Amino acid sequence: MSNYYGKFYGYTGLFPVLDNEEGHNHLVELRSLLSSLANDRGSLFSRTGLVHGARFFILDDVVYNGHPTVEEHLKNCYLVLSMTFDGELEDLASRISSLGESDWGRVMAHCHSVDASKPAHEVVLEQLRKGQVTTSFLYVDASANLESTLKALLLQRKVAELIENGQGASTEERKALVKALAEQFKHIEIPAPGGFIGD
Amino acid sequence: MSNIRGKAYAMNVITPQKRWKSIILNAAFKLLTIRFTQKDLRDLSFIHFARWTIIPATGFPKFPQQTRIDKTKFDYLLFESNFNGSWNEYVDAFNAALAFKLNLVWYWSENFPGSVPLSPFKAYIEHNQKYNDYYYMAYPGSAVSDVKNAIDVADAFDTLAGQLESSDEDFDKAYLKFLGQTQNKIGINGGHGPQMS
Repeated sequence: MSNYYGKFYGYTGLFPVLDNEEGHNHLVELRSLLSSLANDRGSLFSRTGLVHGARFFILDDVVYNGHPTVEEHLKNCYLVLSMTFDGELEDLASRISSLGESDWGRVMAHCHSVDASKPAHEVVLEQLRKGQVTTSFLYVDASANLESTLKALLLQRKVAELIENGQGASTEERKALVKALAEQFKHIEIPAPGGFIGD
Repeated sequence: MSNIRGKAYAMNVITPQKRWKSIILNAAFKLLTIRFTQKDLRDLSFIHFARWTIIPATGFPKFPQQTRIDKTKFDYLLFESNFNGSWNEYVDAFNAALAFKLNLVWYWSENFPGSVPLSPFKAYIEHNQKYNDYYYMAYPGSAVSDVKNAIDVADAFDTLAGQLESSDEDFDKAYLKFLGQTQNKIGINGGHGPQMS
């Protein structure tokens, strides 16, 4: 199935935006909300610890490319969500519902939804599945899961320091440097995803 | 700007294509899923993730209580990419290195001018692009090559750390090998890069 690339999952979903109501222009409110959502370590996607990249955009209509193509228009506006993440959709839905439900709920409040009387993780999963369009072709230029990637990026910096400090050192001193760094990384706290390394 | 986060740029392009052409395109995608056909894409080393999704004319999602259902004349091909650098650099590089594959995929879209010459191709992409309202990257300060290098450095370091109990002579050899493996892959990556305008 094309939603997978090795151990990565590529999700694409379209969620029809609610029609305007008295006092509510959902499209305007949704765009405003999306532009105000955190996209750093405070992001709902960061909190899941699984998502490598995600985006929302509004598909307000299809594009007309001129004669002789027939012009057509959508009857609904759609919120498009794309994500590339580790694991399965069920795991992600569970983490969104437990760790990012507030932001998720605020966004999805502007879209047609599913039966909300079920437990939260089932609602999120059903929403994701209902809106999903199968990816036709997915390409990912990465080999490690998110945790290993962040750890490697942190280690890469420390290795530069190790090599600098190891210049002109004795074998015993180099062994000590390598041992100390290896020990440090056994227990190191990986920074939350979504931010710049070193911030 | 929502299309940019750190070193990454997110692009979305949607193009109409006749429904019968989706059958051919799906066959082309099957060909492209064979990993060796992706070598040139991988060698470019600036695309984190990319995907093409065919939204069938009758395949727009339907939710309960939705009063209007979309059924279009065309299928729609949605292209989404995360890459390093600017829009212009990306489209230029894509065009220079992958012209044949771009034609293979977009040839079926209505009024696609072809990936060569560049100007009409760029105009077509620009015309069909949808801008992001929100963009998140888990490691915004790191380019694709930074990530690849970091993974290689981590693997090399694990191997070196496994030699700590070896004799001094063997450790020295392993250390030299480690330096050779990592010398062009280390650095202070992951921070705020130069800001694109």
